[in-house]
Amino acid sequence: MNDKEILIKNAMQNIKVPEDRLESLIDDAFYETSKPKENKRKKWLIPTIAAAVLFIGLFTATLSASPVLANYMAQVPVIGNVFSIFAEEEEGLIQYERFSDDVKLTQSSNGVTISIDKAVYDGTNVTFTYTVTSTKELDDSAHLTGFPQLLEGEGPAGSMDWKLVEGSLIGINTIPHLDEEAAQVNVIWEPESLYTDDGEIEGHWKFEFAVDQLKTDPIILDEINSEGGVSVHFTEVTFTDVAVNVAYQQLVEPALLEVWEAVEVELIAADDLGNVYLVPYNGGTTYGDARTREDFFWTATMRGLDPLATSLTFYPFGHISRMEEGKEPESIRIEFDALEINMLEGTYQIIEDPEFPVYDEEEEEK
Amino acid sequence: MQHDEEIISAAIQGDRIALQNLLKSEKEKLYRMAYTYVKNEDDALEVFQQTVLQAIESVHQVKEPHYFSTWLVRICINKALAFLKNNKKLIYMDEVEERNLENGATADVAEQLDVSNALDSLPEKFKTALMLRYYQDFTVKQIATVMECPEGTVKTTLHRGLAMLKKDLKGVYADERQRDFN
Repeated sequence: MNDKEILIKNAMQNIKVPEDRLESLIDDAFYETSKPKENKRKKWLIPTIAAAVLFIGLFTATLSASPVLANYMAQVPVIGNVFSIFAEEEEGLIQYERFSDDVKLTQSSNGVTISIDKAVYDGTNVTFTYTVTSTKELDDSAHLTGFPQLLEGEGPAGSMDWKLVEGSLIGINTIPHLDEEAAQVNVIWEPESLYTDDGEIEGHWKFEFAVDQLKTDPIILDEINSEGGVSVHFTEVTFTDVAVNVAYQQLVEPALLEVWEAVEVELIAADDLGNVYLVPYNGGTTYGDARTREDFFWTATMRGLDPLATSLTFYPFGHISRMEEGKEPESIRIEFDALEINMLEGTYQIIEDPEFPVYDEEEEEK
Repeated sequence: MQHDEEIISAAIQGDRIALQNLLKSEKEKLYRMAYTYVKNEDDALEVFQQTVLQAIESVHQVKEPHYFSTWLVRICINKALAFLKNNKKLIYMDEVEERNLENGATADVAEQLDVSNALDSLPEKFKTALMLRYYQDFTVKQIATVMECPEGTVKTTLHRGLAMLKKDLKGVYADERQRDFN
């Protein structure tokens, strides 16, 4: 057992366990659930229905009488404002609400209704929002299974984010697809089920819709920075109405992989006003002519750029790592020269040995 | 968590005694997992209770006995996160330290508290990945199942989590612990 493992294990062991109470809780739980189920169901069914009827009646009456509440109700995520709700937690998403197109496709199956709300394609990512309502009460474990994909893509890719709001499930799906030439892309999504800890509801939903690309004007880059056997090749950056997208390659010396297993180059950015931004990557692709298995082509997306900023600098850094099953992972960090983009002139320059900015996570939480 | 597949199979097929014994053998690990999220005994007990009830309710849904451990831990994590979300709990580490000292913790425990603090300060997914790997002794594949993400993502998450842990501990044990995390 190594030091890290010991430290974490010891920290956990230091938590005092009330063993007797845990035993009692288990015994009580088995005793409670051993009662006949029919009785339990009858007992709960009646008040639940009564409460639901009362709730609807009360709400309808109040809604018609109160314009303030009517405004609030308009924000319940039935259709139209999922981006705004997520924007409360994630900076930069509000632009997506403004520049996205309405999709408004709805399908129901087995008591579960899924509505695709809005979508936007900025030449690098297709992002769309959805709302799910169910006749069954949903809890925080609820989420849809089944990845969306693009007709133009190569299988499922991307990320899914979701949350429960006012009893409805809302979500944002993002599919990376770098192609400034494509005026339009086609999304296909066939959710398999609505999962909850209480069980899965399978159904038949299938969505197919096209999304037009926002006007984009990429700045073509061709800069290679090398450090410690790894090179970063910036190929283009695009400033769109919703985000900043940057494309870059990581190229790895084959000899490096005789000792190390994985390489991952990431970016952090800062503007001329002192704002620091995370630039999470959307996904990486390996091409057939790659020299090593770790030669990746990445796209990364940054949101919430200060509109007053006139230049943006990308600071590449990487981790070279190895991890074998049963052994401790090891990694080392490398830092590269930075690339400054002049947004007014569409030009760029290398900044050698830069001081890396520090992203303030607390600031993000405010 | 290693259990006899026959006992798990029996539990899945409705043998309540078998499930009761399985849950009792896992109670300490489940409670400690819950505690690391909610940070006090009362709330950890509530999360633990919800986990047990959920396990009883849905054990029949476990498709294969070897999924039992990951399935159980996943319930515990989901319940803990839902609890935090619903209660919007604020965690004060001073309280934890105080309680541990009241419980007879000595100076050498401070080291564990620093690790505990550092773990707590990590974003949820990194903390979860590290606990599953180094406390539950899960394989990368099992962690991927619990966290519902590709194995490659788990590896990256572990790398980054360890790097952040190292950063958080920097300055606390500048000479000794720093070396451990390099």
